[in-house]
Amino acid sequence: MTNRHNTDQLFRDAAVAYREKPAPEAWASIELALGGRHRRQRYLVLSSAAAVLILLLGFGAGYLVRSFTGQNPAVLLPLTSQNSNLFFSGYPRPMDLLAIQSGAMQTKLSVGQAVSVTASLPEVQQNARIPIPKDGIMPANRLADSQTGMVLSGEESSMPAEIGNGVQKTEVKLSQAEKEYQLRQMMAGNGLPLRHSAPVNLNSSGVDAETMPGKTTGRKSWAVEGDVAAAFTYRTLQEQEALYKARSPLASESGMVSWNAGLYASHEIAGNLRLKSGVTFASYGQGTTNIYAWEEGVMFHLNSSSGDISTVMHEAKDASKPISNDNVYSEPYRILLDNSMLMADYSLSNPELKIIQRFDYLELPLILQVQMGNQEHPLVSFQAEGGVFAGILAGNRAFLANEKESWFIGNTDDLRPFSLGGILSAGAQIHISDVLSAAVKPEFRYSFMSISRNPNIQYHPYQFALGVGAVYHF
Amino acid sequence: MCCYYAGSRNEADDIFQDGFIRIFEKIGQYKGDGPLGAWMRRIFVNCALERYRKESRITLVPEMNEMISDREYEETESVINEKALMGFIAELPPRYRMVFNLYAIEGYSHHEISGIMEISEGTSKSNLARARTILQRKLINNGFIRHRKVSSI
Repeated sequence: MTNRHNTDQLFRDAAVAYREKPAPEAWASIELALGGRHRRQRYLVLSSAAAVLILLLGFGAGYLVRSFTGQNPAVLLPLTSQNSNLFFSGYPRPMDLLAIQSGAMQTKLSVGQAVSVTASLPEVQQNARIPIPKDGIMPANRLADSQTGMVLSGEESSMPAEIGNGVQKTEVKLSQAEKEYQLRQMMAGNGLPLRHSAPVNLNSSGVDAETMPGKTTGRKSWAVEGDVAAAFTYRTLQEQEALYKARSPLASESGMVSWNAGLYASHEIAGNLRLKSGVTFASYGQGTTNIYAWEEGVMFHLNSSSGDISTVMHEAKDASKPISNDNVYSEPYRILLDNSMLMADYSLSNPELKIIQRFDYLELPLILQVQMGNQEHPLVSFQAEGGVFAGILAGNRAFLANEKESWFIGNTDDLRPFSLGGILSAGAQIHISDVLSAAVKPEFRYSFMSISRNPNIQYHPYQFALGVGAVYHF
Repeated sequence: MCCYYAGSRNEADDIFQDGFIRIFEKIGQYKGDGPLGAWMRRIFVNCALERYRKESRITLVPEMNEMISDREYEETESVINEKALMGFIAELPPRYRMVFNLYAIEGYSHHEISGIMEISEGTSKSNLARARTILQRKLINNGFIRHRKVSSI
């Protein structure tokens, strides 16, 4: 045994025999660190659940408020002698109707409830409709003057249907007694307890758009939509690939978090169908931990199931660029991303480092949207969408990443510049106002074509996404 | 093992802490296809390596001018003090310490070490030789081995 080996053996024996207890604080630190991470995870879960709960409660509360109090977004309409023949519809709240008083220059009209008012300044008061019980009959004692207590007499009005401004509506013909009563109330400053009617051609917001010049709900014609989505993306595996992946310790691939965003325009083409198109930026890709690598000329190649990644040699011996070692990889090696050789039993891995391959596409979709369910609902409507898209490769980048940082290392080889895929989604729109809706939309995208030119690689990326956005109706 | 990968007790505690946190977090990745102790050992080695990489960017390794031939010393009958020996390893410059530990104690080859540490095999061998030289000097100075002068050829 040489002296070299004696020295090595001396220290090896000492290392094996040497025992030292860790500092008590070390255990406390470990406990603290692990506890902190668990707390952070728990905090994320709880805060996410709370956010969803708050959203649900908010929507629920909004729905209830709208259902029971009719507190809807209001539309202000000027009421002047110039447009004294203006006709508008809606169910105003009593407090809204306080605005309709003698001499008032504008009136506030709630969207959610319907009322028909024929307005010329002196006559608007007379012909305004008073909210009466749903049976359509206003008891005589309700016509009692609030100040004098006097009960007015007169005939109950009938409710014939008629066509006004080209829109079918139901008018209530006021009796003389009602007219006198309204006038008395108005002059006493009590506002107009309008009598309701039942318009028969209201849209989903309860507003007869055609009767309100310049104000339409617009869900019948054009709309623009923008959304952004958090997504999970990966690819389908062919049978042989799945088998290989299951057996090989090198095929440690996984999907990754991704996103997409889009701008669209849509137009109604039939009663409940809309055609939608626009542009989407969608990011696909995958993560890989153990890979093959080799050197070729001045390029360094990594191989994953999605294709080879060509990277530029890094001259610096920098731990942040661990695949740059040109001294080691002169032939294909199974390596770990920290540049260490894969051990014989494959059990060593560096879970901190991962190669991320990202494929960004600009997609031009053509989508058919089907309105589902009760579209007359004032708050929420539901849609199903399906379509195809043509994709243009806009970004092809590979990164080496850990939990905190990532380093650009190169590009995946042999990607097609174009792709063709399909989209399916189902979502809901929450109608914030007459023209603006918030949209929530789970969706699935899938590339029909393999995005790799390599005939041995069948790489069909897919993406599950949950998008939120806004829709503006013209 | 954290002690001989570290340059100080505090550093050893840090490696110990990082290693155990990672073990607790990644224990699900242990497939049972090898001894658990070996798997844990590799985790600790990885933690030490990561620490070495961070430190190696700012640590300058002194050049060794005085080399000791393999034949210039022999062991003495001194009582081997394990703690002192671990202290000698800890006093090595980080690069020499890492190469020595990986080669002499963990049993990696120079080829493997070159991959792990992103250095050439020649550098690995050189660092090992220098680490041995320093350690042998410390052994001599502390009476663990007796220096024996050999006439030059």
